[in-house]
Amino acid sequence: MKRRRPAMPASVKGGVELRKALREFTPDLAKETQKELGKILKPITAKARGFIPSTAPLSGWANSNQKGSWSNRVWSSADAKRGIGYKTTPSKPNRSGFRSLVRIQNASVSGAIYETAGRKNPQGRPQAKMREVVIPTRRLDTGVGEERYMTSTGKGYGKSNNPYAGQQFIDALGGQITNAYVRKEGAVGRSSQKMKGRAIFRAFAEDQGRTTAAVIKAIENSKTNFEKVVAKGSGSGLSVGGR
Amino acid sequence: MAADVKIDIAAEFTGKKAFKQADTATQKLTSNVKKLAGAVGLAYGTSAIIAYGKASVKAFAADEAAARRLTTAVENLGIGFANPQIADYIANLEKSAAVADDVLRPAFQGLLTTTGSLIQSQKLLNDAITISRASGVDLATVTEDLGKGYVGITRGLIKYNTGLTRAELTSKSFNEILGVILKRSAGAAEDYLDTTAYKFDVLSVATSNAAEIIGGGLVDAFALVGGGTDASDAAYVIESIATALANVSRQAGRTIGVIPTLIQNLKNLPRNIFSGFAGAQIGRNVVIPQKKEEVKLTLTQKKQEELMAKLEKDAIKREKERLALLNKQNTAKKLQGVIDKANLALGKASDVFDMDKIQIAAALTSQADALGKATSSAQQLQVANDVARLNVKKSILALEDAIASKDEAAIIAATNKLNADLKSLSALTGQSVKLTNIKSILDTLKPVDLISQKNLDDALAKIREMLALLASATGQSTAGVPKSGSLGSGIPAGDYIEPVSKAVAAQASIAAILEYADAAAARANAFADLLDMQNYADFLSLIEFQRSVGDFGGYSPSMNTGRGYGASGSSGNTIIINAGVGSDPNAIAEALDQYLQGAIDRGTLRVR
Repeated sequence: MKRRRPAMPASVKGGVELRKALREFTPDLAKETQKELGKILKPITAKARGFIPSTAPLSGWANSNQKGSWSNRVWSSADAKRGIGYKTTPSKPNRSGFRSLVRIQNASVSGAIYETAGRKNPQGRPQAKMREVVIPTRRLDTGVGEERYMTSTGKGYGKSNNPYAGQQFIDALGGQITNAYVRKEGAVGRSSQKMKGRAIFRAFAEDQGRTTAAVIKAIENSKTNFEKVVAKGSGSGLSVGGR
Repeated sequence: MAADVKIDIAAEFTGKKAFKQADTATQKLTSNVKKLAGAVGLAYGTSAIIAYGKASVKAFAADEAAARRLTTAVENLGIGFANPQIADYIANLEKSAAVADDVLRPAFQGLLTTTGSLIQSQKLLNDAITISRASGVDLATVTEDLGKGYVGITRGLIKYNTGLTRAELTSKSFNEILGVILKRSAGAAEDYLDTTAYKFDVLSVATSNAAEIIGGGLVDAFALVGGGTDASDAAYVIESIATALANVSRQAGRTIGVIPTLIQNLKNLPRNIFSGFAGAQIGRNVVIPQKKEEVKLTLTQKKQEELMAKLEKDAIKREKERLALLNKQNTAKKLQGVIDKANLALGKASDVFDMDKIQIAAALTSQADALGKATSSAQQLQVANDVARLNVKKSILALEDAIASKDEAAIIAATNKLNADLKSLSALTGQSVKLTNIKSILDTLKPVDLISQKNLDDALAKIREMLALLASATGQSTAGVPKSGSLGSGIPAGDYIEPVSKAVAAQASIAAILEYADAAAARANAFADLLDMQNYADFLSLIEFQRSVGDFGGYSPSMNTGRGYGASGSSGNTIIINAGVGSDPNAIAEALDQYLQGAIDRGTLRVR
């Protein structure tokens, strides 16, 4: 299946080197830049946290006695809100060779579920056809035998025996899934679905690009300031690389 | 999962490892290209020399590849020992005809693989050169056409203005066509030798040979310097040296004069000296390995002659097989032509006839009868017309049979017969018929076979058989027919249609069986009618009898008396009905009904 790329972020050249240089040669300026970026990003993360419900969307989800795969997905409003934040450390390159410089993230498990549930299948994942599973067994008393049961599980399909489980879960979550992807003019085909969500994506969409512009401007300012500092200190033999 | 839930606000393309490697390689390449471009841009003379060096190497490589292909082709024919002679032949032809060997080799190779004969290939190549000179068509095309013509595809030879039509080109043999072309091209090759074009060709051949020779030397020398054996290694070294020389010559201003001398000197120097010199220039210790002499097995003269003879024999055998195949194809084509012609005649005839409705034999018999009854010439004409049509139909069937049998003679004969019949029919249809024609048509109705002794004997035997049957039938008609009273069925004894046995039915036609069934049914119906009539007559007789008795239609006290009845005079069997006091008629009727019903139930009484 063709892999769809998420929306491309604003591309910055020399951002990684600049950050290194700032930290190495002008630590104060580096801290100032971090603070400025924090000021820019905090409103949007705060807004995103506001979209997180204060109680469990489903009453049983907050039950800490969950077993199986849901044992580490227990709902916690505090964790979900705490998971929303921003990072300014460069990430590892993705498969396309891009490194993220500034990003907003929803890092908690329950927060991520709340964020994304239903963005691909608004009516819940479809139920696979029921099929019989036959497992050959060997019992001590009767010898060769087999175990049979009916299931409808499968990759990409709902795993519950309740065919309406996905729909009911999504309905109970509430919230509003918003697509933050800004489609370019003249673009054709189905747009990416990976910029849709209830919390950070919704907040980012409502921000309408102001944060992005502010972040780019802050980086440019830091670069300018850095160059000024370097220019002042050039007589001292300081040499700065980068682009 | 959670890691994917993020929004990248700013990112930087840093590239992956592969990208980085590619980038590095590109940068290096760009740098090298820049250096090279700078050097080349200094002097045109240097670039020309580089180009010449490259072209020389390329020409040498192409020539070497062509030579190798030819060598392989010759070896595949099993006459690898003849390679030196072929090389000599090509070299001599190149000098005498001023045709480059890189043209001659592929041409010769093509002819050799087509004909399979060394002698034929040499002859055809010489002919091709002559034709090429005369026609102006390039040698490669001429040899290709001749090669195709040799195997019977003569279509391409039309371009040489032979004056032959396309049909003639198809029908004539290749040698005949080649003879025509050569006759028209005679002297062209000799005349060409006096032209300026020929002189240019000579120069061109010499130049290209020089390039190949120089290229060969350069490849050998510079490839070793470059650390390899390929032409690409040589080209790299040539460019580097030429660039260096250009720098030198730029300063000295003597580039043009020095380079050829230098190249010549380099060529004349022993390889070891050169490699030492070149190796020193590039800081490498280059040692040229001594070329190992290949040990080749040589064949005796006798063996070579045997192989050559075998080759020629095989070529002749192949040519014979090809001609045989061609003859077979032509025969098949001829037969097909005859069949097509016949089918055409059939088509014409079918237009005239309604084939489904005419039964020839019956119709001819009918016409024979009609001829006997014909009293006027108009009737005779009509009969003749019909007979002619029937003859056409017969001919059609005969022709169809002949086509099915694929017998050419039979097809031709049947076609002729059909055409003759159609002609007669056409004449009759046009009403411009002569009496002699009518007579000839009507004569065909005479059953010639009937006058033979055998047919007469058979006819007499049939007559005897019929007479015997007639006598038997007469005997039966005079015998008394048994009456119904004696038989009970009313059908005379022996007067019935015997059922057909399986053996007889198996041999009989469906129509005959149906006819038999119809006859039997009709006869059975007739007897049924007869029986009905008999019954009716009996009924009437009974009525008459009862009328004569006089109690018909009423009760008489004298009834039910006499023999068989009871002794009392009133009745033999008295049925006493107890209807109770008063003798209610309904009670009596009910009692009677019960009595009768009881008799019916017991089976002693049957109600019709």
